[in-house]
Amino acid sequence: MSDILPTGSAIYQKNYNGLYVKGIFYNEDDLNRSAQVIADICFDTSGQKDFERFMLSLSDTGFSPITAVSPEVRDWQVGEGFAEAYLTAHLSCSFPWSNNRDLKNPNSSLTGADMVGFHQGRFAFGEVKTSTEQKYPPQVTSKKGDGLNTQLKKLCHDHDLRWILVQYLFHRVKTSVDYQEACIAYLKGNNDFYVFGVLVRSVEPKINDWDYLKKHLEVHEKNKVSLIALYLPPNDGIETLHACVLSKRAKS
Amino acid sequence: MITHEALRKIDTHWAVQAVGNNELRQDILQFSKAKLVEKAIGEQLTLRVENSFNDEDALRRLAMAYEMVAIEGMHDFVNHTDNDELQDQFLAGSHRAFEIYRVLEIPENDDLKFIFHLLHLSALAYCGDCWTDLKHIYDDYSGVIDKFSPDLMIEWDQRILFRLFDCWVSLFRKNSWQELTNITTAISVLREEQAQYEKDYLKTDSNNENKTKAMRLMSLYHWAKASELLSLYMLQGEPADIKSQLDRHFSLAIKISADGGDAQLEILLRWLHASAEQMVNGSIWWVARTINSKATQFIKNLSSQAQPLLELLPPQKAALKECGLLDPAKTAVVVDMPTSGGKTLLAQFKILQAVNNFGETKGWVAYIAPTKALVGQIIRRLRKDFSPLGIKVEKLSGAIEIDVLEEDMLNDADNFDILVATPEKMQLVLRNHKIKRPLSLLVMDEAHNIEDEGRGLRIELLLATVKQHYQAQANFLLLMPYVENAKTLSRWLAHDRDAGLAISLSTNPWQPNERIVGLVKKEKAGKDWTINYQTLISSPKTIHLKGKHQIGGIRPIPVSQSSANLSKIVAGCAKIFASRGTSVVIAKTKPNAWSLARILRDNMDDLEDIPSEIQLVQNYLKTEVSPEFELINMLNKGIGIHHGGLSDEIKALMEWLVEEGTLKVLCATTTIAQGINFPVSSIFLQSIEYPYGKKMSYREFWNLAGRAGRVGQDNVGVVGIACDTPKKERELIDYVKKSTGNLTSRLIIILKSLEDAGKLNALESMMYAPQWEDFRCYIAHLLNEKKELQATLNEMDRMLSNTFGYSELKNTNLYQSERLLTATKKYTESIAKNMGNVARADMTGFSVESVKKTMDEINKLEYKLTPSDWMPDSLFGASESKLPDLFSVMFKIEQLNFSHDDEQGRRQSRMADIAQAWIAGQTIHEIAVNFFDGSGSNEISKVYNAIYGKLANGGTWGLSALSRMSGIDFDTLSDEHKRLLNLMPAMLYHGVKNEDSVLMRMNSVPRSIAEAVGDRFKQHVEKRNVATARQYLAELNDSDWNSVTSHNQYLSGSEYKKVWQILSGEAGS
Repeated sequence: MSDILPTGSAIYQKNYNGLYVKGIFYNEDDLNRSAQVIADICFDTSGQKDFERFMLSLSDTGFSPITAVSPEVRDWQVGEGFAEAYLTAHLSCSFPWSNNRDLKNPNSSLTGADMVGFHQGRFAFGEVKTSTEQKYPPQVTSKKGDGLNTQLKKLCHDHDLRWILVQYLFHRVKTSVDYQEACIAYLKGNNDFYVFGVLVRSVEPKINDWDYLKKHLEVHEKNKVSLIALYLPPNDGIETLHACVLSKRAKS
Repeated sequence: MITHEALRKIDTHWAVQAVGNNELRQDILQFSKAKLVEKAIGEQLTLRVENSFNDEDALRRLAMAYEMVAIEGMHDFVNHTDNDELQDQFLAGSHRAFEIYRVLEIPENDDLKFIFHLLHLSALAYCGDCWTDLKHIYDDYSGVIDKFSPDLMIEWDQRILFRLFDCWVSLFRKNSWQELTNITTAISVLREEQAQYEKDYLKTDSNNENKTKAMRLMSLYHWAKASELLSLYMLQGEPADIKSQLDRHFSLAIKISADGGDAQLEILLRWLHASAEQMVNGSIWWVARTINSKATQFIKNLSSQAQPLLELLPPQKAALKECGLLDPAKTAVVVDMPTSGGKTLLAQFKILQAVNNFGETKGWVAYIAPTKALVGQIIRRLRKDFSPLGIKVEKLSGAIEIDVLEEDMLNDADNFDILVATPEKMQLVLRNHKIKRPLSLLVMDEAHNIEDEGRGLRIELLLATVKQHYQAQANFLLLMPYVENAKTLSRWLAHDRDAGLAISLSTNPWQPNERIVGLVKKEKAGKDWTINYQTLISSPKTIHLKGKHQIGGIRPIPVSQSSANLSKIVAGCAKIFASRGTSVVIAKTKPNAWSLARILRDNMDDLEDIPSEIQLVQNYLKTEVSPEFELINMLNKGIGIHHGGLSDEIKALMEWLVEEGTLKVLCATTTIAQGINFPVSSIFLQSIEYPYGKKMSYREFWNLAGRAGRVGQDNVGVVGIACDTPKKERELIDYVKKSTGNLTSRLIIILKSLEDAGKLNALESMMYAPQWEDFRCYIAHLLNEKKELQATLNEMDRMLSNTFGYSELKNTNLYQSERLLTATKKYTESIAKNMGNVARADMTGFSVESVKKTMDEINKLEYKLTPSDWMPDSLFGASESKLPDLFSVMFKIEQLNFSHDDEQGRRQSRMADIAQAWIAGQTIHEIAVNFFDGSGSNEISKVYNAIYGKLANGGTWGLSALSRMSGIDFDTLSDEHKRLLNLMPAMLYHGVKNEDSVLMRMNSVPRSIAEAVGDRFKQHVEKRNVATARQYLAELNDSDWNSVTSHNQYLSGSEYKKVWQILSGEAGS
C-alpha cells in the first residue's frame, strides 16, 4: 500500500478568464490505494479523549454537564480528506495544520475554510464540496448560503475572513519559513494568494459541473483560482471511498 | 510599559516590512492619524491634508502586520516566559495595531461581526496600553451596544455570546461599580437558563453537529466562568490566584474552540485571554496587593466608589510595579511623568507607605503644591481619600506667616498626619522647626518649578533646608512632567548614591490621548475671513497633518476682516470647539481675559437650561462679590473666568464647573499654566507670553498643552496658538519643536548669566541684587542655626552642597562653584556682624538687608510703637490706627513686592483703608465702589489684586514681621494679647475680625457668613481649633445652615453648605 495518492486520470483541464478548471477520475483501484493517505488525514485518535476531558472540565465552570454523543467520520469529511490529499500530492500545496483534525463547526460565528495552507510560496485557501447528486452542475456549486459559489466568493473577497484564517494558521506554525514567505506576499497586497474549490463527485466526469461557477464567480485575481473536480466511480464511488477509509486506521 | 525602542524595533519585523518601505508606512500612519482627527473633530475642523494618500487596503494590511507581530509574542506574554523581548514585542505590536484598527470602520449592521470586531479592538487596546482610548469608542457606539438584548436570542449559543458581550463591554469600559457587579448576576442567569435552552440547541439529528455544537458551548461556558472571575477580581481583589484560574479557563475555552473548528472564536478568546492578563496586571488590587494594610483599605474605598477606580493608568502601573516607587531603600524618588498621567495617586501610595511606617514616632508628611489653588485641590483629594482611613490631612493658608491658630495646629501631634502647603509656607514651617515630630516624607508636586525665574531658587533652597535638617529621617518624592535629568535630581536628594530613584516616564509613548498642536491664523476669504489651523511638528510627537485646515466656517465671529484680531481668532476657535467640551482660552493679561470673555458672551447663545451647578456659583458670586458682577451673566452662556484677579474660592468654583462639565469656555491668563490641574478638551492661546513679556518655558507650555484632552473622553486634544505675523509664525514653529530638556538650578542660570556678562568676579557685590534674595535668606538661616561664624564658614561647602545648583557645579564647573563659595563666605562674614538681625531675618523670612531697612524705617517713625498699636481692634478699627504708617514702611521693603502697584501716590494709606474695610466685612462690591470708583470687572479685579495680590501676601507677611521687629517685648504681653497679636495677620488674610471667624474661613466657609457661623460655633463648642471647627461644620444640617444664612438674598442654607462642601472637599461635594 502506497502513501502517495495516485494521480488518477485527467479528463479535462481548461482556463476560463483566469479560472483554472480541471477534472480527474479515480477508479476503484485508485480509491483503494488512496484510502490510507486519506485516513491519516481524517482520523485523530486523540480527539475523542480530549472531548471527554473537556466534558469533565465543565464542573469548574458552574455549568451542568452536557450530554452529547461521539460522532462517526462522515462522507463529507472523507471528501475533504481526499481533496486535501490531492492538492498536497499533485498541486504542490501543503497544509501544515489539517483542518480535518478539527471538526468543522457549522455554527461557528464565521464559517471559515476547509483548508488553509500554502501553494507556491503563497497562502492557499480551499473549500470542498462532496455531492452524490446526478445533476450537472450539482446544487452544491450554486446553493445560497453555504454553496461553493458563496464560500469561494468569500475567500476571494472577504479580507476579514481571510485574516482570521491567516491568524489561525500563524498561531500554529509561527516559525515556519513557508508561512513567512506566504505572509510577506500577502501583506504586500495585490491579492497575492490562491483559492481552490474542490468538488468530490461520483458521476461521469463532465466539465459542465463548473458551468455555474464559470459564469458567476468573480475571482480576486486572474490565475489565482483553481476549480478541481475529483470524480469517483459513478453511483457508489463516495460510499466505497468512505468504507475504504473507515477500514484503515490512522498510522499513529 | 511600552517604550519607543520597542516600537522602533517592531518596525524592522518582517511582517511590517512586508507592507512597504518606510516612506509608504509613514504615509499609511499619517493617513490613519488624519482619519482619527477627522473622526474626532471633523465637525469643528475641515482637514485639507497636503498628502492625498488614502489607501484603505494598505491601512488594513499595516494593522494586520502589527497584529501579526503581536501574535508572535502573545504566548510569551500570557505565559510569562523568560523572553522579555517577545513580551515587549507583543505589547508594542498591540499598541500599533490598535492605533490603526481604531480608525477602521466598525461593522454596525451585522451583530456578530460587530461583537467580534469591538471585542477584538478592545483587547488590542488593552494589550497595547491604550485602554483609556476605549471609552469614547464605546460612547460613540453606545446606541448599537444598547440595542443588543441577550433575552431576545432564542439560539442558546447566541444567547450566551450576547450576554458575554455585555459582560465584556462592562469590563472594558468600567462605567460603574453597578455595571461590574451585574456580571456575576449575568453569568448566574446563564447557568439558570442552561437547562431551558441547551436541550433544544443540541437536538439536531446529526451526532456530528451536536458534538460541534457541544464544543462551542463548552468553550463559551469556560469563557463565562473566566469573565465572572475577572469581574470579581477587579471589584474585590479576589481570588488571589486569579491568574492561574484565568489561565485554566481561557486555555480550555481556546483549546475547545480550536478543536471545535471555530477559528473566529478561538482567535477572539486568545486576545481576551491576553487582555484579561493585562487587566489583572493593571488592576489596583494586583499592583498594590503587597503594600500594607492601609493601602489595602485605600484601594477598597477607591474601588467601591460609584465611579470606581479599579485600574491604574499605564505610567502609574509602571511606576509602582516596574520602577520600584515603593522600594523602601530609595530615599529620594523623582517621578517624571506626563501631564495627566496620574501623579497624585502615586504620591498617595507613597504617603500611605510613610504613614504606615510612622509607628510610635508620630511622624508627618509634607505635601507641597505650587499654588494656593493646587493646595486646595490636593487637600480636597487627600481628605476625600484618606479621611475614611483615619489619616488626618490639614493645610496651611497661603499667608507667608504662621498665625496663632496654625501654631496651635502644628503643635498638637494629634491634629494631622499630612500637611499641605505652598513652598513659601512650608519653608517657614521647616526652617523654623515648627513641628517637633519627625518629617517622614516630603512630596513636592510640580517640582519643575525649581527652574522658575521668580520662585525657583526658593523652592530649591526649601529642599536644601530639608536635606540640611531632616535628611536622616525624611524621604523625598518629587513629581514633575517632562524632565530629562530626573536621575541627577534623585541623586542629589538621596542619602547616598544608591538611594536615589528616578522614574522617567514622560518620554514614553503612552499619552492620555492624542494631541494636535498648531497655529491659528486669520485667512482671508475674499472680503471675508476664516480661521486657518496649521499643525506643527513638536518635540512630544503630537499629530502633524501637513496642510491648511479650517476651523469652523466663514467669519466665526461676525466682525469684518480688518477687525478680526488675535482675540477674535482665539475666541472664534473656543466658540467652535466648545461643542466638544470645555475649551480654555488663554490671554496674556487679566483685562485681555475679560475682553475675550466679552467677545464670547456677545457671540454665544445662552445655555438652554442653566445647570444647577452654574446657578449655585452665580448665587455665590452675587453674595460674595456683587449682584452686578459681569461674570454672572457670562455664566448664563457657559463662559467662566480664571485668573489672578479673582479670589481663590472663585477660581476653585470655576475649576469645579469644568470638572462637572458645565462650562463651555474658560477664559484665563497665562498664569494658569502653573496651576491647571484639570483636563479640558481644547486650549487656545492668544499668546505664549506672560504679562511682562517673558515667554512660558517649554516645560510649562507642554504641561499646559498636556491638559488638552480628557482621559477617556477626547481621543484628540486640541491646542492652538494664535499668530498674526510671519516672524511670530517662525518663532512659534521653532518654539514647539524645542525639547523640554534638563531641569536646571536657578543658581546655575544666574551664575552663567553673570559669567556671560563678565561679572562673575564681582559676585560678592552682585549677590545683593534682588535675584539673590532667597539665597541670602538661606545663608542667614544657616548662620543663625550655627550661631557662630567660624563654624558656619567651616561647613559652608558641605551646607551649600545641599543645593542642587552648587552640587551640580562642583561636578561641572569648578570655577563657578569656587566663586560661589568664596562670595557666600564673604557675605556670611558681613552679616555675622549683626547676629541680632540675622536672627530677625531667620525668624521673619526677611533677608538681613530687608531687616535693616525695616528697622531703619520703623525708627524713622515719629513715635514708638506700643503693644496696643498692634492689637487688631486698634490696628484695623481705630481712627488713630498706625496701619497707614506701617504700610508706608512695608512699601519700602522690596521683598514684600508692593513695588509693582500701579496706583502710586496715596497708595499706602489707601491700602491701609482697604485692609480696614476688608476686615470690617465690606463686600468686594463695596470696596470696589469705595476705593476704585466703580464696580465693573476691572475695578473688581483691582480689589482682588489689592487683597489677594498685596494684602494677603506682602501685607500679612509684612505686618507679622514688623510686629516682631518693632521693639515690643513679647514676654511682657499677656497670653491673650499675644494671641490677638498673632491672630492679626490671619484676620487680614481672611477678611474677618475675630478668631472664630478665622477658624471658619480656614475651613472654607464663605466670608459672607463666616462671622455668623463662627458665633454659632463659639456658642456650641468649647475647644475650638481648626479640626473641631471642621468637625462642627460637617455635622451641621441644612436647617443649621439656614439659621445662620436666613438674611441672605441669594443663597439658601443648603446652597451655602454645598459651596462649603465643594471648597473644603468634605464628603458630599
